[in-house]
Amino acid sequence: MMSQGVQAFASQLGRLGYQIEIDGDWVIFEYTVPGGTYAGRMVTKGIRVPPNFPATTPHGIDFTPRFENRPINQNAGHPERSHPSRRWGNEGEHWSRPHPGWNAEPKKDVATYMAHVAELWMTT
Amino acid sequence: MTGSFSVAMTEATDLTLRQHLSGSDGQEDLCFALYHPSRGVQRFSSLLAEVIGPRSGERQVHGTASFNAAYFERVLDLAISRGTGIAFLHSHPQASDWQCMSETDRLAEAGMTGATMAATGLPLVGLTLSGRSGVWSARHWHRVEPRIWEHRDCDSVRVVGRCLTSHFCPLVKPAPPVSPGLVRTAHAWSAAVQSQLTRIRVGVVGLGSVGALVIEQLARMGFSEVLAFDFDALEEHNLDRTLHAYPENVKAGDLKVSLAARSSMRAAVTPGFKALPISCGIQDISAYRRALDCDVVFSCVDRPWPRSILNHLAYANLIPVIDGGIDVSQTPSGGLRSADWGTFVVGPSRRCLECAGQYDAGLVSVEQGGDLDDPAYIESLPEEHSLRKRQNVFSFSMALAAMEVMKLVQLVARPAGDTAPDEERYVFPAGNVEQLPVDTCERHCSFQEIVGRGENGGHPGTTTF
Repeated sequence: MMSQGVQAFASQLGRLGYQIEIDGDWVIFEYTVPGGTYAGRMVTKGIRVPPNFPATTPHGIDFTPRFENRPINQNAGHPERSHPSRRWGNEGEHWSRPHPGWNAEPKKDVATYMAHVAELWMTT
Repeated sequence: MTGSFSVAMTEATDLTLRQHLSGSDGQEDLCFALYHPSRGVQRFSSLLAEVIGPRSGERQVHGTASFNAAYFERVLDLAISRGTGIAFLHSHPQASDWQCMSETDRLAEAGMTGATMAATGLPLVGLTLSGRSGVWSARHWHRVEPRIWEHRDCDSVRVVGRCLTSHFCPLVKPAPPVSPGLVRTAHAWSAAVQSQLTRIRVGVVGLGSVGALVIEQLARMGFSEVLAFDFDALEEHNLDRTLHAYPENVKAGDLKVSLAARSSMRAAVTPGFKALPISCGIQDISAYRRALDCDVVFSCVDRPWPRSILNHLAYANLIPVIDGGIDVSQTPSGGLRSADWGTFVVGPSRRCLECAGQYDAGLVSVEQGGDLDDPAYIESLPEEHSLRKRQNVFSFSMALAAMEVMKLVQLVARPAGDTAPDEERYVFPAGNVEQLPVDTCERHCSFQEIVGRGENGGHPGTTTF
């Protein structure tokens, strides 16, 4: 059986240099926003990993602390603004921003997913 | 060992095997293949994956055929390294029906069963190709006591691709009788087609307005076995579109699946018709395993998560899925602008539901996270989002349900030589029927990489695995 789900995600994320914690199907790690409105800010990020990752891409990102409720990166078909975090409640935010073209990606791995996450921040 | 057994393969594998086993010299021949297991609740299916032909000197053809130990040992090594089971195949050039085992055949296969089970942990599967008719027959071998092995005939051998061709064992799965109530149906496409259609075990996932009409059709067309999957209870807003649903059912809190199964049993024309209600969604692993017992599945759901699971089922387990959808478009003032409904047939040699745009993969994990059951989340979606649309009419559902069942008829019976199109769409009120040309999946589609891999095809995306 190929490696899948949260274990596969965490293992690949660890290889990218992140210090990670696994809590159920969540992967938690510290993250520095690479660009955009919040460039340079440090957040604690949580990604809830589908059991069949990499076949299915994570839903989006959660993080704490929360920022102001302004429109986030625009992605047709998803809410304009963030929701309260599924993990940290009103102390954090949930961005419903799955990777838009996962099935067409030649490499369905964490590096590709994290490039999508960086793009979300840089376009917000 | 309880339950039933089956073998499935793609049309490409079937062709490769026929070319090897049906040599032009009219002699018997043989070869091995590797298979991936696909275990349902009641059925063990062996999905033939890779044909391992003999190398020079590994087998001898002399009217009958034999092979050297080195050939079998090479196949054992390959099976161990790939985590698969082993199938042994040979041909009977003069035969035309499902084949029982001759003593010579039995001894040849029995002699390999112990080593195969010890090396792979999976039973040996034997197949015979009848040369005159092209009929496959198959059996699984099991240990009944130390060093004693017995075979059991499979229910069927399924060849899956542009068509669904089933070779049924007449002893294990005889053709249901054409009862007086079915004469006109059988006359529409012949008793032979009727016997093929009605022995297929069908799954119906989602017993809402479309699913309830699909199961009713199957019962009245003479099908003998249907598995129905849904976890929802009937609510008042279902009454305008759900066959056999009445206010008392809502008041009693009846499950849609119970009502549909009960109603189909009343409607059934074949004696002994079985409709098994399974009161959980296909996201539940116990339901998913039940679906692995089916030969074909109707997807009558409108959410991305179950569709993604059924997409996995179709490719990894060689079980064709017939999906459908209805899209109602309104004018700015709320009037009806148009409605279109369409079917998608997916499985090997066909474009998958995700690449066809029948669900948004990004929304699968949204649904897994519970957001699609969160009214605040749904309200925050754009106004035109498909998940905010709730319009439907019983007549639209009836038209779609009929279209879906006709796709099964096309897939199996190929009327006028035409199999089911990948996609067919009807546009109301224009009245156009469009059959979209065959298209392929995205170049890197992950579903094309798991064709026929069964349990080795990865997590299906269910809640547990």
